Amino acid sequence: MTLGAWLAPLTLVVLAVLAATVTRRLAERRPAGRRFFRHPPAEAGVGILVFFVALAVAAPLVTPYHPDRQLDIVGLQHAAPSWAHPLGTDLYSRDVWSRLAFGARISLAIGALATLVAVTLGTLVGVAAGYARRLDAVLMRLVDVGLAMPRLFILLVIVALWDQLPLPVLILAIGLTTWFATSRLVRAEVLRLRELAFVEAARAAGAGAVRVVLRHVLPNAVAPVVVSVAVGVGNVLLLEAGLSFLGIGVRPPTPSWGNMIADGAHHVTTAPWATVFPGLAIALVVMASTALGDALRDAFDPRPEAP
Amino acid sequence: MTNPGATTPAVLLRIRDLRTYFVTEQGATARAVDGVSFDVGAGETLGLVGESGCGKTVTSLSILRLIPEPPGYIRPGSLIELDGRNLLTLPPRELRGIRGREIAMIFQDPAASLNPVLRVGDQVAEPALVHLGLSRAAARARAVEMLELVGVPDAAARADDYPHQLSGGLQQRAMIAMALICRPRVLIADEPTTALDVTIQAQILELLDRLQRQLGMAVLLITHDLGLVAEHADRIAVMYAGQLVETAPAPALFARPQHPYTEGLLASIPRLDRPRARLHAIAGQVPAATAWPAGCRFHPRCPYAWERCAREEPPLLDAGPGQAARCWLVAEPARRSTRPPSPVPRPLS
Repeated sequence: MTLGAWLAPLTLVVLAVLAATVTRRLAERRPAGRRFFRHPPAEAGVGILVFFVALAVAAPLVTPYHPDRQLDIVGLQHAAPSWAHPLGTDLYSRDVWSRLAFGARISLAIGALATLVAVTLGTLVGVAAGYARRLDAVLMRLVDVGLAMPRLFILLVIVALWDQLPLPVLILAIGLTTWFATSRLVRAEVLRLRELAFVEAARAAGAGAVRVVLRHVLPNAVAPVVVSVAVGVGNVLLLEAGLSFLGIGVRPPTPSWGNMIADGAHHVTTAPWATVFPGLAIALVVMASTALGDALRDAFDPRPEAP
Repeated sequence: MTNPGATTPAVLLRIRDLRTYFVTEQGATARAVDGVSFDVGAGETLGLVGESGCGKTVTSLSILRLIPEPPGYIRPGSLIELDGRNLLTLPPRELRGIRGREIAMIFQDPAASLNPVLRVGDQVAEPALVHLGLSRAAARARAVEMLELVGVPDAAARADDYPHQLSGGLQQRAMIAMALICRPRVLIADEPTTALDVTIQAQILELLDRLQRQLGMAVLLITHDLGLVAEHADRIAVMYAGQLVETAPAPALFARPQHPYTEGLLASIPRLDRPRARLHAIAGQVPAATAWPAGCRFHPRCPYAWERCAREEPPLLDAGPGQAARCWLVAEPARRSTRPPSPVPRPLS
């Protein structure tokens, strides 16, 4: 049992390192892949993401305990990391490693899906505003309103509408309140691109608006989109942590990295492991996604060096 | 007023009284193109010449209705006809069917005119995909054929390259291949060689000449370089301040320029076959399009100008077979001898 509990994370680490190496080997056969891995942190970023995604997927296999199980409320409260509990236990004697693994499922799902919603919406609005001049003023005023309202406040209002917030609603709520900055970035890029000679050349060749946008404008606007995804995942993870800290995010006892930090926050001096490890997980994923964002931006751009 | 040159073949592209205006941010109206008329016949090359800011490019963009509207607009009463169809009244969908299919365009800077993230072959193939309903593979095969036609060596391999991997000359060849893939009847070449080395310029222009003969299309060659149109255009139209100031068959324009502006342009060409002298420059600058001078628009810079020029705007006056000039000197030729411009322009021959 204990041996298994230690083998599982080790297996994941080995898997992550292997995945990063193999990805690099395969990717470097193509120019885009070489540009991607020219960034030193890119390989580490791939490894870290593979590790946490694998952890989330394989959570039941790699954890010795049920994440919500209170093992021994008297004897195992705030037990320090040990052979039996690699990351220690929390206030309710739950195994932190198990909770971290199951929390990865929730946190990463929220991060990925909410970012998907936000970036999709932000890109659509940004392209519409940047390319169709008639919509620009209306859409950008809408964005101004969105940016002017404190996001946490909007989320509090939305959350207050539900007695027990369903997870999809939380994801949608976060996604629908985080697209504003993306739309600004994409719009600015589209405004720049639409004036370029190759867009004019495409129109002169008879391409319609849809074709111009899909083939000539959007592929050149990957940079702000990719950056938005990278920054977005980090932002959403932090937002989820903030909401959970206020007790309105993911409902306990379901673990998320955010509410794990919230649970342990009061005992951070006596039992730091209950907060430090989920905090570390958030920090690692945020850094990894930022590193991948940088590398992807270069990978998508076949020009030798941006001036 | 109408097109000179009764010898031109069947008119393919007919421009009448084209006026393209822009509303500036200050609310003024810039009359960038202000009453331009000309014809281009099938298989003919018309050279449109003028300084920067005289309205050449706006004219060419107007023909394809690529003027950003707003702030630009083409005044009602203008006429752009391709084979009798008025392009100014076409619905957007049919207009897109003209662009790249019937009238194609190549631009000044080939590096900027190619989408940096699309492979060259895919880009050259795009008009064929849009207009000819070819499959992706067929369009791609046709693109490679076109790249071969325009003299791109190892065309199949180059088609897989990205634009930045090609030299400037090859990029412009690729642009030409893209413009001609649908076999358009009119090609608008807007300063096609300005961004290129001199040696490449000659190659590109010879290529255009050859393709014009092969494909029998009409070419509107827009340039600021009179020397260039001398060799490659059948007829020349000189633009100044949003108007045509002189049109003539190429040899006549060089032998007997009628408009002082044309004279000035000819005198500004550096010559190797004459004793070295200070290069002639036309005094002053092109006026702003928001405030063209009253009377003849060239009179503030004209060495011959007299009071009539400041008062009355001259029409295009007939000045010989196929030649017309917007200048009162045509009506009062005696004035030409009274005060010649400092460096006497002589015809090239």
